[in-house]
Amino acid sequence: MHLPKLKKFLQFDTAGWIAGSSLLICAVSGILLAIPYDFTHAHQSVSDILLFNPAGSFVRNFHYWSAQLFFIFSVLHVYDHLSKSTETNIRDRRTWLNLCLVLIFLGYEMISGFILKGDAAGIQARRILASLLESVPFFGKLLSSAFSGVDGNYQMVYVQHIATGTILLFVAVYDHVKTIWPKRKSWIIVFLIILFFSLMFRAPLGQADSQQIKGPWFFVGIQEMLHLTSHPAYIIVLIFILLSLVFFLPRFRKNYSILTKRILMVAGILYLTMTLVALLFRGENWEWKSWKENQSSEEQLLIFDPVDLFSSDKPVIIPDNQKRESCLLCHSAMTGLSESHNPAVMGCVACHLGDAYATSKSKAHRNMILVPGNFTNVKQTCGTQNCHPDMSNRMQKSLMTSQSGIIAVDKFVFGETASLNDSFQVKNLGYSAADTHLRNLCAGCHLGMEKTKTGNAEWLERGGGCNACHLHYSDEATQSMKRMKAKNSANSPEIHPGIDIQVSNDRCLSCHSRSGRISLNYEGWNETAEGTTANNLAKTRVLPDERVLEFRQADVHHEKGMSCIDCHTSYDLMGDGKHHTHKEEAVGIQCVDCHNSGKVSSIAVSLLPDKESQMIAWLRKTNPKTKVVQTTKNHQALLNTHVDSLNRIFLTDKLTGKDHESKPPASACTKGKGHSRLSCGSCHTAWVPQCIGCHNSFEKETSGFDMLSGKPTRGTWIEFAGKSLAEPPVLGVNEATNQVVTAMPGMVMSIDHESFTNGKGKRFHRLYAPTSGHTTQRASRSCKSCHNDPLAIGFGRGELIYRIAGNTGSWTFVPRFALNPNDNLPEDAWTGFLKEAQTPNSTRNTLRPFSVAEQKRILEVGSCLNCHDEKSNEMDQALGNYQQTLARRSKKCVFVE
Amino acid sequence: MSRRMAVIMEKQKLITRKSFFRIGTTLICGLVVWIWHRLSGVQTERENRLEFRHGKDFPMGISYFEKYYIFRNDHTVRAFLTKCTHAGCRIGTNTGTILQCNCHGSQFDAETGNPLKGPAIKPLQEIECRFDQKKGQWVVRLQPFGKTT
Repeated sequence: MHLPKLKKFLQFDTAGWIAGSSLLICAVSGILLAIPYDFTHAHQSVSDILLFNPAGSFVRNFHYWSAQLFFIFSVLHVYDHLSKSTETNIRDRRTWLNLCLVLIFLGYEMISGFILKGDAAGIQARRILASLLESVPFFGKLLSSAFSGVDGNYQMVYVQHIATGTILLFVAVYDHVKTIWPKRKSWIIVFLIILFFSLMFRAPLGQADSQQIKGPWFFVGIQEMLHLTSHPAYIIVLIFILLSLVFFLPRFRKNYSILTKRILMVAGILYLTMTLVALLFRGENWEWKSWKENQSSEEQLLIFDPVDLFSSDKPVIIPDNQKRESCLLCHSAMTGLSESHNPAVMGCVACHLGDAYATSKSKAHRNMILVPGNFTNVKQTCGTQNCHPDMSNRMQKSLMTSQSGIIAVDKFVFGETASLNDSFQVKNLGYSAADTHLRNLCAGCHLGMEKTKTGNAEWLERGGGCNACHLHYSDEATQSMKRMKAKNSANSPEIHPGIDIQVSNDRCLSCHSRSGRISLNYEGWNETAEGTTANNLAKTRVLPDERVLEFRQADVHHEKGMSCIDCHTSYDLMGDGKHHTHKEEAVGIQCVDCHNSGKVSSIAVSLLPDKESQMIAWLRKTNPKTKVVQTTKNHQALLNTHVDSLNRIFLTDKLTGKDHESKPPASACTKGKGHSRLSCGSCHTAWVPQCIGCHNSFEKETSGFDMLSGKPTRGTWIEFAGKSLAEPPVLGVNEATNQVVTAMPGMVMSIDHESFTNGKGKRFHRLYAPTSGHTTQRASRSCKSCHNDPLAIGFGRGELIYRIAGNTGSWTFVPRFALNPNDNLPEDAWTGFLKEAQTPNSTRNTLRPFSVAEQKRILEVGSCLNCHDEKSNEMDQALGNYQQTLARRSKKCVFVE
Repeated sequence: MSRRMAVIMEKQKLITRKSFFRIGTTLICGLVVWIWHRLSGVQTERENRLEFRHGKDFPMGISYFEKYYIFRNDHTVRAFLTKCTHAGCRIGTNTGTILQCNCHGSQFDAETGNPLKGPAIKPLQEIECRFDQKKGQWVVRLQPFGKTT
């Protein structure tokens, strides 16, 4: 019964008259909108309307929604006529031509209105319009200059929008129906509908520097078509063909007319489909984006934001030179951020998203990201094209994100991969024995871990993407955050945590206090067994996870005041964009870069090849002519150094500003060929943490923790570790560089596979790992500490005895630790005494312990050191030319067998 | 009737009032189009005459200046328009030496201006970039490279 009435009520007039009513409202609201709108500062004036002028905002909404209604009902009006075949009613060819041409102006009015917003999408839309018009043969330039103007000047578009386009639309309406006045009832109903929309829904406005360029909803179909073709002129041709079809439609025979209409219908459906696809699934750079991501993007079609027409004028005015964002109406007094992230310049939305033009708190905070910089949001926040796209891309590939090396080695010892160099991503870990082992013991340290709370990260809250290193809460910022959380910050200063590149050592500590423990070593701390100290007199410290540290000896660079970031550039830390397998491939800095006796590798600041270094040099106001050290391995600039005309290197601490002059290596380092194969670390590393070995088994009934998912688990891998010692490193050979390098026990362990679900047997590994101890000393280790020390040569701890029998001597070794039944080597050995090592013996394919020949050569010098002091002339000569010195040896010398 | 009068009468028949107004309208339209033609491009030409000057110490790689960018490598300094050759959008920097059009997704190699990813198929327009020895400055004009005016 009620349905026909409802239908009658809804169909209060024809689509044409609804469009006509909307056009009238649109024109009147346009005149009112011209009062606050300033085409010379288009975006600023529109954002000012939204932020400070509720009446202006209401008028803008009215203009926008009436235009949308006009457009939709104009299209429906055309469809109506074509479906009823009433197009033949218009006999006059000129009127029909005018109506066809006015369709173009209908599109022009809509797109010019979109352009006049002056946001990034509007700016680019003007350029596309200009380019399309220019592609029209013969008249292209005329059309373009008349209807799109030039870049950065909206005068032409504004004039054509308010004058030419509007007049032509009204002329067409009059030509068509001989009046412009709709029925009063229709007009009032249309007015009320537009009023409702205008009060409730805000007309969209994007940011002036947004990277997501999406045209108006009715033209995103054309944007998609443009994406699909390399020749935009085809779009003009297509529009021309479709308009020609419409123009000739009344003169076609009936069967051709039906066919044409079907073609138009199919084209319409295709266009609608493309529009929907583009609206829902296209994002930044016109790349595919999930519907959910698009939902939270800055520009929505329907923004529920009721206009508060009765609100008083806002007392806070944002200065002209500051970013136009509603956030600053409340948070303009926020301090704490450095100049490079000054909110007055870059606003808040660039990092935190939200709604930049909503004036109520709840609306402004909609879709806001509380903790920007996590990898789940980095593409929308720190990593947008306006900010740090390079770095966010590099970070995704860095070892600190993927943990590839750690995973490869762990899977290798579990027998789940045959290669130590396979690539892995920690986020893709499954639930195999090795994966579970990693989840229980290692997977907590990677940048992809989410930081979910504000405030300084707790000890076990590692990761957080960019925040892991760059977010710093001062005490004041922490207090401010607490006040905000407690909602009592009304009259207190708002202090934002700092975001900068002053990364202190403690940011590295929570992850790098494990495994090689380089952060601890650097500051001189060695981890003892949990909860105990071996030496009660030693200086000790307890970490938040209850591990006990004992002070041994700090790195000389630490003692001089240098921090981690003084040596390690962003390319070391955030990756260089390549997928590296192990850490020594990813790290570019070497001792020789600063401690060089030859010509220093350097580059002038003006010639820096990468944007990031250029930006930092610019921020630090470095003279473009200053020469800075360039690493020899990967040619990265050390921006905190400078090389003077005498080839001297000076380094400035990034955190303290203290200057240091870098010293060249001592003569002993470069003298003769005797030590030419030695890496600097071989002699200058004071100690590295060394364990004797560990046993790993899975305890099905013990409660554990999955570090990757952050959830407790039933059943966990347990590592039963042995002693942890701080002693000089073991030496071995890097076959890739043919250098003698430092090593430490890496995976000396037994694994009880049977304890894990479906596991079989037990496995033992004796794999040493390359290490950069980070316990560098100015003085090198003694000759005897290598040539006469079984630990350094790889035999393990014990006693090396040189026995003389007649004219020959011989070495014997008495190990301190018992032999491991798995390989009959002492528990702490890397290789057997005067035996070739079994493979695999290292966590790298290129690392190996000394061969028997090398062991003999080392011990041969060791036999000399039994009698000759290492500072004696004989040993000094031997360093210069060993064979010559050997030839001159006296008859008293007892040479090794 | 003289012969001359007959010719005039004949002409009067040829140029009717309707055709007179038609010709008049066409001439007026032609005049409007001609003036329009003279007016159009004034702003573009003014822009083309502009010179942009920069100090000699350009950093390596891309230096982006909105309407154009300058690329410096070990051997040369070249300038290109930042107008996408596909549909005219302004392209921006992406990662490394890649330039990105955020309207339709084209990418260009900054060093050569060649397209790396479609829909664009034409290289970016190289523009005049010369070194002014007297003032020690790089001078850029928005004129196509090699077409001095």
